[in-house]
Amino acid sequence: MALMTGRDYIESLRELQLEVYFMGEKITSVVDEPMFQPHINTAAMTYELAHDPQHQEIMTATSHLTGEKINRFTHVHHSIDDLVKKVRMMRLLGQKTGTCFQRCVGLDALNALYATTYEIDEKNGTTYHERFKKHLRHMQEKDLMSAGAMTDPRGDRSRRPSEQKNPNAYLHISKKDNDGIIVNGAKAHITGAINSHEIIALPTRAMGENDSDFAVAFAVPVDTKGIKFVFARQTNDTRRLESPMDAGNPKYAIVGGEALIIFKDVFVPWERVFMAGEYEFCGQLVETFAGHHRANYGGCKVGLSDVVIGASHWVADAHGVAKASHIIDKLTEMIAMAETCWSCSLACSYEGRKTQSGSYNINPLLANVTKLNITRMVYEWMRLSHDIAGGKIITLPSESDINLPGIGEVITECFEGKEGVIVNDIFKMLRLVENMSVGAGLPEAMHGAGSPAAQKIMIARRSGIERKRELAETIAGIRTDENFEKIVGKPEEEYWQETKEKIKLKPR
Amino acid sequence: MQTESDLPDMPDGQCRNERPIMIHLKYCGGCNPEIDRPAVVKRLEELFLSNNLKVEFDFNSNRNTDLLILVNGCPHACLEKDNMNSATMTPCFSIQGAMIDYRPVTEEELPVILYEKILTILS
Repeated sequence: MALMTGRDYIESLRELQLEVYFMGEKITSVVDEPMFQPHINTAAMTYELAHDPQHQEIMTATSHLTGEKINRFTHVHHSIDDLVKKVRMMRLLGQKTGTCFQRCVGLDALNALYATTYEIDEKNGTTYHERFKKHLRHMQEKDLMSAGAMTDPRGDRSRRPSEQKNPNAYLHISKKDNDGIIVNGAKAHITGAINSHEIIALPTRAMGENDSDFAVAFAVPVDTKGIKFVFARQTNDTRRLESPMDAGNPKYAIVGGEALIIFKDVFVPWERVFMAGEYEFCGQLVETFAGHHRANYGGCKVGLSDVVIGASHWVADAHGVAKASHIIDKLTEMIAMAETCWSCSLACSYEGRKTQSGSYNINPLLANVTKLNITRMVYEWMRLSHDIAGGKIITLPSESDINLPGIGEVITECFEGKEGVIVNDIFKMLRLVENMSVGAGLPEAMHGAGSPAAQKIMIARRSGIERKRELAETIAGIRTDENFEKIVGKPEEEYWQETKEKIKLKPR
Repeated sequence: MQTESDLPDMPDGQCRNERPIMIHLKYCGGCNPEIDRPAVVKRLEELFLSNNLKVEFDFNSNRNTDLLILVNGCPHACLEKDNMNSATMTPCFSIQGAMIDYRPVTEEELPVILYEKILTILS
């Protein structure tokens, strides 16, 4: 049983022979590509902190399969404490990297499949759960990173998967034989895909009987024959090739480094197939995955807020306005919103429940509320960071000009703050605010783990509106209020009759 | 503990058991229940009576009872934390909102499934 360090993880990626494309080129070495390195560093943090005595308590867990100490990113939650520690881990990693650390998607896919394969087998007498447990054990023992791959390209959204003109709009089974399945299609926006060891593919939506070929879940190594990756662009991404300072967060970058994964006649052996046609379980699998993933956002994004709030205060202080009442007010607003989201994340974890498989799931209503708040509040606290940091975040000269003899000195004078503050530090902090608040992080907060409409559907479905109506009817006197009758010692009707009599008698 | 084999067949309307089945019943606090908890218990009681079985619900944990039933209003199942104690020999059943044994069921099915489970234990 080996818990990899950050360095171990990076070196382990060298063994993988992926077919990756970016900016019109085939990338020969993922690990050595400067465009990818910050994203790899971020994922490495999920490994490194597992060795840090200051963080082991939340970064590691005990495997329910082996009893061994494992990285929590390969753990299936078996208690409320596990659920809570998971979101604490998310906040911690957000604080340490200031960006998306990618590995939670695979973690949530593992947890969703653990619970759902158990229930498929219970109903159908299949053996997916045992297969899946073997895969999970492999992931835990090798301390591997999975790219959770859920979202299909989806083509015409008004049509079901089986109704699409292009069948590759959804990843699907093209062939089944005694050895396994052949799949074709694609998965889009997949976080951490190029620097994971494995891909774990899940269906993206509820399916009907005609969609059974699209009801497929499996795991494959990233360098399986027939898989290609196309790395996505981000706002200001190539700045990291020009200047560390201009990149803003040169160590860890912005969001997670997403890729399109193309599957062309990819063979998956049966021992790695966890759903093959059980369309009636797709909705449940998606809901379980999405619930776990939406719970995370009140952890990771709040960790990011800790960084951007710190950066905003630093910039205000560097310019001598940290104690101005309007600055304190804005920072307080940012903190209150962030802690609201954190409260949601903790609440949906503390209100979690046991599943048939024995694993634990979050409270789905509260997890969806968590994510819905994130889709709004991240924009608002980033807006306030712009307000505090000022227009400089979009008008700063480049690092090259700052370092240019003859002009650099003048630029430096122009951007001085209060006495004693190093001007170069002001540049660095302003670039960090720009990186975190102007770029890809905002739409990622909106659409990662599902768009707001998806959360609203889940919230409406689980709101218990009938019970709320009953409560209102009881208070309004339409429905019998047994507790009230006990308090007043008589039926409500009799009580009100007597009360009306008293009112009539009372002199005015 | 009384078992169903101790219970004779009786003519309609007469109870089969002289000593009622004693059930220790615990409700969760009911902060945000998904089910009508008292209605589930009432329906369970009716099922016993309609099968000529006397049953007595007891909310006091100090008495000896044949069974413990935990009526949790939602899947979080607050009561399970302190009451699913394997050290005690009293059989325990738990409803987790509209679930039993962590399997979703309808609210109407809940008392029926619970009743059948209890009879299985008693027999």
